[in-house]
Amino acid sequence: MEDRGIELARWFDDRLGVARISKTALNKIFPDHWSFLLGEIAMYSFAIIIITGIFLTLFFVPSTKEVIYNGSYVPLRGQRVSEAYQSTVDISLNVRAGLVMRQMHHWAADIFAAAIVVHLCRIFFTGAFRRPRELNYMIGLTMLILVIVNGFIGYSLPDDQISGAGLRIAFSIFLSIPIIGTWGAFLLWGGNFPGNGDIIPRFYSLHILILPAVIAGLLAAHLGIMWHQKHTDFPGKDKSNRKVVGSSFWPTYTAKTTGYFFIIFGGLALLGGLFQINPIWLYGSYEPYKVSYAVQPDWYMGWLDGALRIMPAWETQFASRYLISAPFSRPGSGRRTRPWSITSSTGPAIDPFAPGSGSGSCPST
Amino acid sequence: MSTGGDDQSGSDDVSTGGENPGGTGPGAGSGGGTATSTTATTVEDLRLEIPVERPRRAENFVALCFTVSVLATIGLAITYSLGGQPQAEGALLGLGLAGIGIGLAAWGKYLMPQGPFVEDRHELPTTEKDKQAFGAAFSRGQVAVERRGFLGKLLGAAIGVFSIVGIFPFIRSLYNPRPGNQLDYTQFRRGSRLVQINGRPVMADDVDVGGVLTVFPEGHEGDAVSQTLLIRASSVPITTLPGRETWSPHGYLAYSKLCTHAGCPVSLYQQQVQQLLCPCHQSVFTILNGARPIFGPAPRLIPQLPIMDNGDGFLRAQSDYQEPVGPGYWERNTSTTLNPPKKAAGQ
Repeated sequence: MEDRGIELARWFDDRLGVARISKTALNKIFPDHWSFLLGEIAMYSFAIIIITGIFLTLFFVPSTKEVIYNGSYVPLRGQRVSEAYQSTVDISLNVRAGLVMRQMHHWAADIFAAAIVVHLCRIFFTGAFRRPRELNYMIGLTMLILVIVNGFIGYSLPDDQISGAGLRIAFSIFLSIPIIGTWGAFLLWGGNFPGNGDIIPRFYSLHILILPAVIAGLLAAHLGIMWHQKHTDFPGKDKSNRKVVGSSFWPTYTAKTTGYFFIIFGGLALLGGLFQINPIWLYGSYEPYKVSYAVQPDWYMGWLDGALRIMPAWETQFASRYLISAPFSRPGSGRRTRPWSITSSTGPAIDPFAPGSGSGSCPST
Repeated sequence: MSTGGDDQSGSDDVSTGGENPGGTGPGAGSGGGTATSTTATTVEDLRLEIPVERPRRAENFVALCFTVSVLATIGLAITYSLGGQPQAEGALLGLGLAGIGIGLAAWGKYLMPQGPFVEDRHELPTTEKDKQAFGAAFSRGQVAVERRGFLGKLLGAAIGVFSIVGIFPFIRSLYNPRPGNQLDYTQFRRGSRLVQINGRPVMADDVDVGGVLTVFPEGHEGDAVSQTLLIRASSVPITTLPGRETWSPHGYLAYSKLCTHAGCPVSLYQQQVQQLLCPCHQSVFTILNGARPIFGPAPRLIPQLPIMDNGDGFLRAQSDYQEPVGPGYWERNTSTTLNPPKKAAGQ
């Protein structure tokens, strides 16, 4: 057994000359601290997203073509739904282990983004972003943005009632950009909202190919640079700017980190199997004239949804021809469509959830 | 610590005893992990000392983990072949994977050498000699390129022209259709009957006071832009704003269903306070005076559709909306309206 292993190593070394660099790699020292595992949660979540995502691509149909649902979920039978929605319902309810895979994919995306944010906090508060590690910091921030974007896109793909409302809001956000907003939104959607069925196929290729490829490339660079520059560490005995102290890559760190991958994989399987997330068969296929109270994005979009809510109700007409919306306009510049003080002065009087504030008929949900 | 470069320039205040591993190596692992014996050695001195005193117990634990994993995974296979059950699948898959994971991690933590080992951090910058050699190598090539400066400029022009022209078909194919004035108008025309999603026209006595319907122009049922909320707020006409005296026959008010904030369907009608609430970002509009926003981020009144009853009982549009519906956009301009409404009171 051992002889055969050495023979195999020789075979490779004769062709690639990798014995020395491999020896250095096996002997590489990794410092130990629980907070160094946060980035690993992110990395392994990404791996699990890809594994479960490949499974989902085998069954998902990226099309907004309307079909009459005739599947196993009785409440939806006879309704006009999009193929994207129907295939997602089928994955959830008909494909064996499909629901576990879909929910693991969704949970892994939420945890991926969360792990990046917590990892970023570790980097930030320990000052690990400073010279010579600025490049890796920038790469990490770029990945965070891409992960949020790709998470939102993935959330939109099932074409259910709630994600469709999210797309409507995204279209409106595009529209609000001065000068290029209208053209940008029409370019992406292939027309006025909800578009001509272009957005789901386009989002699909972005979600499963383009953005994951970019993230994977950046992740490789992130890890390569980290490996080359060596890990930061907290102060401790024998540790210094010139010395790393810890356990060796082979076998100790290898065993621990591989085990860690399986622990995260297992944890996500428990979440995916036991904790429901995004039950789209309850929401129905997207219709632009319907809406639900459950229009809430995944947590990592909260900053944008919150910004939309607290944004003052400003609009400014510029050169009496062009409209500048709240994020870009200021009260008092140009012609206001409404004095902005009204927004705050009448706010507290309105509490739609207070008892007696109306019969609350909601006609279309 | 305030400089950015303390990785390179920080003080060497810690012991460098790790560079002398000969005497301390054997002691590092044998002390059962107590804090007093942890002078670091280099990894070249790796010995199989492990941090626990009774490896048997750790071995048993790891073996238990792997066994649980095998059993759970077999259980998963059985569940799957019997037709599957999401909770059981998730639990067994989780156990199967976590068993491998916890076992491996415990093996690494308790049954493998922990060190601590020490390794030098190499200097990242190369020597001055290396940098100068790189500069010289680059200059050699640069001379060869710059000697034919004209060709270089021509190459730049060729690539530049190609890049610009290459974008055109890409962009043009994506712009079908162009924005044009699509955002300015809906599908309502003078005389359009208001119909429900199923195409059924709305008659004047279809809705009781306090009721609402989502309506569309006939022939455009489900149209995302034309969707309109028809509210019977009263049994008699309501003048929501000056100039709109004829817009609400039989007390029907028709407002665009698109929120002026982010385009969500504004669909919660609260009859007692005569307000509309947008569920996306909680903008509140008062319907009796032109759907004025009184709370939340919506910046504008919701456009009102002028409707009429010609005497045949059908509710019809008097015209299209008189201003663009939905959220704002750069080219939005009130002068594009069919019949500019009078400036709203209070604006």
